[in-house]
Amino acid sequence: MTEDTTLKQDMRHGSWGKGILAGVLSFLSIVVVPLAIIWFLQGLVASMGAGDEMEGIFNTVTETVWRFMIYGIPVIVLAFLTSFYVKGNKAKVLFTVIALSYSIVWLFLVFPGGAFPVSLDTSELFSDSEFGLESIDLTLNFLGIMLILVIIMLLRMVLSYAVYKSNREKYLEKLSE
Amino acid sequence: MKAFSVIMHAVYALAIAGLILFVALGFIPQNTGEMPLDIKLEAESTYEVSESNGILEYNFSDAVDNHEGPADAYTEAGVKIPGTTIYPDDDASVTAAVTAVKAYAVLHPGVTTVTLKDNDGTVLTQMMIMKESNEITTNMYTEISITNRLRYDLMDIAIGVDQLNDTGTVSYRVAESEPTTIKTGETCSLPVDISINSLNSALIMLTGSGDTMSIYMGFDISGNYLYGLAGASVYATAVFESTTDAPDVDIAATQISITSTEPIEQLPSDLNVTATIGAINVTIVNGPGGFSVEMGDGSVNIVDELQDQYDEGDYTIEIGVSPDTEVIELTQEEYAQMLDLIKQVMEAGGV
Repeated sequence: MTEDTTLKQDMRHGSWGKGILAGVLSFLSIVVVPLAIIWFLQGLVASMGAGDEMEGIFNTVTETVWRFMIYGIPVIVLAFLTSFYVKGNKAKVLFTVIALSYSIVWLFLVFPGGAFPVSLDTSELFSDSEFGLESIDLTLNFLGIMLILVIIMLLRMVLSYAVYKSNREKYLEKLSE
Repeated sequence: MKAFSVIMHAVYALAIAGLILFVALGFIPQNTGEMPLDIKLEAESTYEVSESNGILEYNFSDAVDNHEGPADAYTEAGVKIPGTTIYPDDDASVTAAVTAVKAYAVLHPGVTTVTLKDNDGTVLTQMMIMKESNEITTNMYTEISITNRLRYDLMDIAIGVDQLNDTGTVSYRVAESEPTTIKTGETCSLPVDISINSLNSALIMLTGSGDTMSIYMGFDISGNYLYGLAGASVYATAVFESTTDAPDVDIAATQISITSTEPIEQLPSDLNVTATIGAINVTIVNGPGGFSVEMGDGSVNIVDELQDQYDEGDYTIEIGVSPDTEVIELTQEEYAQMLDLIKQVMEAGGV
């Protein structure tokens, strides 16, 4: 029978390699890829010569991506901590729950109210005719899908506890070796 | 605990895969060779025989010109009415057809509607069907038909059309459809009743910045998808440019006065309405001599007077000059809309 450990004791044991790898992967997906998307979109808009009409969409997408990046920085830190600890470690459960809880908040910070509003200035279109399309305001609402994602994240929290319980004994055995 | 962990993993994987599949399939049409949505703005050329000759003539002529081929009028039972062959750009055939339809309806009281069909039996369509109107209100009808080739139903599809002023501060809903569900694989026609009050329409054009006579319209489309989990709403603002110079506009609590030396192209060229709403006199003139609106004589607060009449449940407008007057009864909604609009106009005018 192995001796149980406290959370404080568990927090001293982790894998730097796994933690750094997870942190780097998160950094790539949360910062580098979105920056590449903005850079790609800028180039695309410039090459298409689409100026004022596309500016509204481009600005909204850029603002959303920036929100994704800035509010996503804690997720990078939490990804490191979550992967730093191995299965069966109490600290892993703790940081997984914190990371998932923050991810729910992050989701609503990136898409406030579960909506994505876009405004397009189309006044330059049909400018030579008697009819002109001045502007288009589009709002995409996906609050329902976001609520399902929240449920999935809550499910993931339960899953992390199940993983902890089923690996706890193995973890303690390895720790006592 | 191991078994619980395995079950939880399976549930989690299924939830993720299910959500991705559900959303992805929602945006792939059943037949990838076709457009996911097909939208048309037109109504079948079926008319009430009780409509006035002028309205029927306009609609017959518009439908046949649009079709670019001859057509005949048929009863709802499919009987071809003799003497109703109409040719494009032929006013004589239009007049003759309307006369024949009216005569047929007198002889056959059961016939309440007629439909125009071409030689192949195809029902003609029109973008906008003119309905019985009066001096104040112009009524039109059309249908927006949407074919849904996506995998899930389109829910709560609603369409509205507003008239706006050039700064977007005054809005007047001229058309609206009831929210409708369009099942996957089906085509649904949304009936759109359009009612344009000439007074309201003119007032809107002349508020705002006051430096344009263009007509601004707002198209409001909204709906839900993915069983209500996602939705979209679009508001498009369009402008029908006018070359007419802006008129002099004077808005006070007791009098609204608008005068222009040029007529407004978008309004009827023979518009000459004298109306009385409670104690408020209104005249609207649009013609070769220019355009003018006079509302109130400077002695009575316009909004208070109209509000009093509304509160008393009196929604009538008297048209014409005594003794040749005609009383038009607006619905409560129409009157409330007019009152609300005048309040907005006053507010926009700084009153």
